[in-house]
This record gives sequence, structure tokens and C-alpha cells, in this order.
Amino acid sequence: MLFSSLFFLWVFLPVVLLGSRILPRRWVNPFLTAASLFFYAWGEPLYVLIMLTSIAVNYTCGLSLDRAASEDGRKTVLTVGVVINLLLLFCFKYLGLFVQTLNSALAVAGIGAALRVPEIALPIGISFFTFQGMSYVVDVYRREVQAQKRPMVVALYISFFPQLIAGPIVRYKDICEQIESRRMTLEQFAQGVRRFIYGLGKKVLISNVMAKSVDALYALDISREMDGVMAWCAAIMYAFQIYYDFSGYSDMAIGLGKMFGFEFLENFNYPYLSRSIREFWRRWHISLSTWFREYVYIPLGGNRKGVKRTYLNLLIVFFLTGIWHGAGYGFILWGLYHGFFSVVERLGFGRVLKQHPVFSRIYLLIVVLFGWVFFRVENLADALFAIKRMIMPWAYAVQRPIEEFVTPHAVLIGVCAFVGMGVIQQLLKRFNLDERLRFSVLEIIYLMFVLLLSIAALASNTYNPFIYFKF
Amino acid sequence: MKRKISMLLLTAAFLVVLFGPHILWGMLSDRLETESVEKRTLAALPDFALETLEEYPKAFEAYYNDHLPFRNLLIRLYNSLQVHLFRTSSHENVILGEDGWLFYASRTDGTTMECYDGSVLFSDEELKRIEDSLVGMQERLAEQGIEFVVFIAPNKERMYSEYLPDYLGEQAEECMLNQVLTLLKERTSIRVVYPYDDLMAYKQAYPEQNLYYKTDTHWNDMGGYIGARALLSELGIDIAPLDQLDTTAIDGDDGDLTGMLNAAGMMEKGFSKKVITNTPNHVQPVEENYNGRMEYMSEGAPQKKVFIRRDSFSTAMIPYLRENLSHSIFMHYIEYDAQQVWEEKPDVFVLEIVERYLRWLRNPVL
Repeated sequence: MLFSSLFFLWVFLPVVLLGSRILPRRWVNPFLTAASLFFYAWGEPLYVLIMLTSIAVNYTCGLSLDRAASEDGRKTVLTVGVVINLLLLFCFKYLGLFVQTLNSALAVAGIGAALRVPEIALPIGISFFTFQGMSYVVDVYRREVQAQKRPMVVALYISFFPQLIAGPIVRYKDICEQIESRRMTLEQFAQGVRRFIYGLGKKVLISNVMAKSVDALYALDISREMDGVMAWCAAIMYAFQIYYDFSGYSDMAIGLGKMFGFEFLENFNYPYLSRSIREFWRRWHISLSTWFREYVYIPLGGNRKGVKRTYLNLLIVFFLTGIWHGAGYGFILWGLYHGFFSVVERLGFGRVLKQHPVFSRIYLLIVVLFGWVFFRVENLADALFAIKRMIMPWAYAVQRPIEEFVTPHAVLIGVCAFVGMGVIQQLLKRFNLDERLRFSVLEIIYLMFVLLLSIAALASNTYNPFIYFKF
Repeated sequence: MKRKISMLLLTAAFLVVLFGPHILWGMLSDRLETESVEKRTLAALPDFALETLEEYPKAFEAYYNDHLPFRNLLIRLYNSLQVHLFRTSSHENVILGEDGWLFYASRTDGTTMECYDGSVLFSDEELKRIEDSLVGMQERLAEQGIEFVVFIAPNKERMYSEYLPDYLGEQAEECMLNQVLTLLKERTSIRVVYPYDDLMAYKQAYPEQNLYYKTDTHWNDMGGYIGARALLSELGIDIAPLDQLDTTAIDGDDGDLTGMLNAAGMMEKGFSKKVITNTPNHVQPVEENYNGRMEYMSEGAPQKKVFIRRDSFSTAMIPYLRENLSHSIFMHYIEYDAQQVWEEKPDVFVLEIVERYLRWLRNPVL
């Protein structure tokens, strides 16, 4: 189920909101858990069993860690827990890529036999809930939290529908108290509504519109049909698409959390305003970088084992970040690409950036923009074709009029996207208008306008007409 | 305090938007327009059964999406905003032209834009195939004493290209249409009727009288009359030129493009006129199945039995063809079967095809 669907807005959410308000207190958490499992099962009727398995495994590991006598015993349980989570993730997400790579390696080694590449459908959200499960097990092992005795609480933590599908990745210790005791106030609810509406608008009114043009452009045979202008338009619009899609979804998640009395941590902080790749990763998908820092970078030694080891650790983390986003070489390349710039900035370039506020911003945008091309156009060859056309647009003859792909609507939304990526927010702050406008009558009118327009857009998306009657 | 009131207001408004639509719809749906212009059967409520449980959520959401509260209103609202405020088409296959003109950009239902800009051309091998298939038809028909005529109706994008958006540029000289016309003229003896010149001449003489619909891909009755006259002329039958006749306005139904766009103010075909021919011939329908066979006898008309394998562009021509042919049979390509031609043994077999379907010529229809 998607948040940006009318089934969610008009059927699921009202029912769950109603239930969470009228049911007796001690039934609310079980109700939310049941609703979350239903939410997941609705999108993945069979794969919901994987999530239930994940919940069971992590719950059991947590308890075992508490009960284990020796340090060795605890280490064993930790290993088992982490391995099972990773195995789940590996089997359902990375097996295909692994077999493909193996086949390539075998071919290079001269061995003829090739294994059949399995085609496994990806369970939605698996990258998120396995990471949440692992974070629970590790935090219990580190004695940062106590193991949860009630399975329902672990179930709610792992499956809670606002953050289940697209994050933010919530750490157990940030949420366990709220699960047990939280108050639902009008103020928090209203804040949640505000956040949710902005997120919905970002996804439906901006990201989806950008996606139309981007998909049409990247669907072309890039080596033969794309020119420089098209390549640039596609890259810029994708940069907007992915930011508004991802941050919009996080906004909706955070907003929904608030509606049920939960405070999740921020996941995005205007990343395109960054002045370095290092800063970018403190502002983009914050919960993921936090997770990798906590559970990979620091255990590997972080920056405490010498300069060379630091760079290696960084590259490992970026490799994992890349592959976490998708099982494909394009994603790996994207991750390492960011890792490369991260290292370069640590080698001294970062100091240069700090001294040049304008140049650093341009640098960041260009680096990130080109990085997105690898991310979106997973096929490496095609990505390079697109990038060549961006670097030397004059060398490629105009193929098609750009108006075919970039409509006036898309241009308008593109401008809004640019303004909204942090520019207007900074301006409002500069003039101290942000606090004054928050929950002002003006903003409420604006919010309702965004909500209603988003609903109209969602309805329009269900329209699928034919020129002759489809028999 | 003021802030608390705003928060309450926002919360209340949000809850109204969340809970309200289903309630309101339950009360108002009878009085609101729910007719579909989508030209497809809307998804049905799926059966809830254990065996089909896995597909149920998707099927249910498809049903729900097709039966949303206020669906027509919401779609019309968003599409109208897109079309009128953002000057952007709400359907990828509909091009917004100037002055309210709509054009068709399809890659799967014929190839309008490729015909216009020449971006897709027939290869030499394909041209050979077309030549062979048409010449083959001509020969097989000739063996039975049946004449063969190919009728090509021009695309609207060609006739009214001045209303296309500027970025689409000028019509290409080298295009599929010209390839076919040249092929037929230079390499075959096949009779071709392509009424472009007649249409253009009338259009230039009477520019306010549209010969094609603004919001539909087809020519209207006036354009159809000119096409019919050209075809009849090729068959040796003369009828009055259009400017000597009167016309009368008729109710215009939906255009084929209007339903796709679904935007306010552009829901009608417009400018529908029937040509008053005052024919003395008495037309008797034998069969009238729009997607299949339409057959007419006409008393007093010149003796000619004509069999036309048609597409939708014949529709506007049929009233004027049938009254001037003693026996006319129109078979829509949907139900067309070559066998019927041999059984009917007409005097003339006409292959009527609109320009955007020219690629079908690569495969013989007889």
C-alpha cells in the first residue's frame, strides 16, 4: 500500500486513526501492530511471512541475549541474529546479483558452466525492516537497551506502518519508551498533519510530475536518441524527483508517526544546500548514515586506526550504502563515487571548500547530479553515454525538441522544486518569517490547497482512457 | 491561544477531508455525474476467495480507484488545471494545439507523429513488401473482374498543421505517405485516390469551415463529403461540389480525443454539420453494424457494386457514398474477412486507409 494513494487516505488511515482513538488504551498498540501487518500484507500477501519471521527471530535473539550467561554465549546469539537478518536480505535482494557476478567471474576464469540466475521478487521494505531488526539485536547486545519481553512491542517496532516501507530507519532505543507510554496531543497531531500534507504534496505534485519526464527521457536509446539538452534535463529532473520522493515519503512517515503520538528523528535536512559531500551525507537519508556509522564504521575502527584505515572504512561504508539502495553495479558505482569524493575532501579539498561558499555549493550540486545518473541509469554503458552528453552537449546533434519531454507543467514544477529544496526555507528564516507563518491562517489555506490538489492528482492518475472502446 | 485555534482548524479540516468524501458520496452520488468517458470497462469488485487471496489487494484497489468518491469531478478538475493553467496536455497521446485544436500522438494506434516528421520511414524492403502485397491484390481481383482502388485519407495533423505547436516544426517532405504515393505512382498501375488537394482547395477558399473536427482525429461530414466525391469521381460518378450545397448543424457527440484529455471546456467535438445533398435516390439499409458490416442498396443510383474495406475515416463518407452507389458494402477492418470479397463479387474493391495506419499495407488484406 502506498501513502500516496486514495485507498490509504480514504480507507486505511481513517479506520486506523479512528481505532487508535476509540479503543481502550491497552488495545491501541496491538491494534496498531495488527493494522501495520495488514498494511504490509496488503502490498505483499505472501511476503508478510518474511516480516513475521524477521520479527520472531529478532525477538528471540533479544531474549536469548538477556538470558545468556557467558560473554561467548552472547556473542554467539548476536552473530546468529545478525547473520539470519543478513541472510534474509541476501536471499531476497542480492542473490540474483551474486549469481550474476559469480557467472562473470567463472567466465573470466575460463570455466564454461553458468549458474541459472534466480528471479526473486523483492519484498518491499526489506532493506528497512531487516536493518531495524539488526539494530535492535545489536543494541540489546551492547546493553544500550533491555530486551523486550513482550513480542507485540518488538512486532510494532519492526512493522509499524509509517516507517516500514521507506523509513526513516528507527533505532529501538529511540522508540521503545514511546511504544510503552506516549500521550497523543492535539498539538502533536496538528504538527503531524502539517508534515504529512507537505510530504504528500512533495511526492504527488512534484516528484511524480518530474518522474513522467525523466522516465520518458531515460526510456530512449541513450546512445542514439539523446542529445545534450535532453541529458541535462533528465539529470536535473531526476535529482528533484528522487529528493522529493524520498524526503516526501519521510515527511509523510514522520507526520503519520506524530498522528499516533510518536516522534521519529528527521531523515532529511535540505541536502542540496550542502557545501561538501561530507555535509551532504549528514543531510541525506540521515537515518541510514547514522545506522552505518553506528553499526559498521565505528565497529571497523572509524577514524581511530590511522589515516589509511579511515579511508578504507569510508569506502566500505559507501560501498555498502550504494549496494543497500539497489542490487546492481550502478548503485555500487554510485556509492563508491560518493566515497571517492568523501576521501578527496578529507585529503585537504574539504578545507578549500570551506573557504569558498559559492564554489562549494556548485561543486556539490554538480557532483551529486552526475552521481544520480549512475544511480538512475543502472546500465553502466548507458550512464556513460548520458554523462558524455552532459559534459560535451555541443558535440551531439539535437535529436528531438525538448518540449516533447519537458512540458510547461514540468518546467513550472521544476522551478518550484528548485525553490523548495531549501532556498525559500532559508529566505524565510533570514527574514524571521518562518515562525510567523507556521500555523498561520495563510499556511493553513496553503496546506488545504496542497492536500486537495494532491487528491485531485491522485484521482487523475487512476484515469486510463482509450481512444476507442477497449473490449 | 491563536496558534491552538489554528491547530484545531487544521486538524478539523484534515479529518473532514479524510472522513468526509465517503460520507458525502453516499449521500450525493445519485445526483452527480458518474458516467464514464474513459472508453473502457471499469474494474469490477473482485470476489473474495481463498484461492485468489494473493491477487485480491491489487484487484480491490483497481476497483476502488475506478469507483472513487467524486472521481469524475476530481479528474476533470486536475486535468482542467493542467490544460488551461499549465498549458500542458493531461494525456501523453493528446497534443494541445493552438486555438483549442487537439491532435493525436500515438505510437501504438497508428503513427501520427512519425508520419508528420518523417522520423520513421519505410525501408526498401518494406516498400517492396507493400508493392508486392498491393500488386498481388490488384492481380487477384483482376482475375475475378474486380477493379481495385486504394483510398488514403490524410491525417488531421497534415491538414491542419498550422495549429500544431511550433516545436513540432514543419511537415517532412520525406515521409511514409509520400513514399507510398511515389511507389504506387511510379512502380504500379494501381489507382489511388488521395483527396488532399481537394480538401486543401476548399479549406483555402473557406477557412472558417473546418473540414476536420477540432477535438477529434477524424474529418467531419464536410471533409467526408469531399473525400467521397473524390472517390466517386474515380469511379466515374460525379456529384455536386461541396460549396454548392447547404449544410445543417447536427448534435456533436464526444470527440475521441476529448475523452482522453477530460478537461473542462474541451469535452465536445464541435462543428458538426451534415451536408444536405437533396438526392433523389432512395437508400435502403440492408445491414448496419458499425464495427462490422454496413450494407446499402440505393434506388436510382448509378449501377455499381462497391465493397470497401474500411477504417473509421469512412464513417463520414458513408452517407454520401451509399446514396450514389446502387449497392455498397462497408466492412470495418475489425471484422473484415477477405473471403467476403470473393463471395460478394463487387465491381470495385476499395481499400480505404487513413494515413496513420499506412504501415498496415505491409501485410496484404486480400
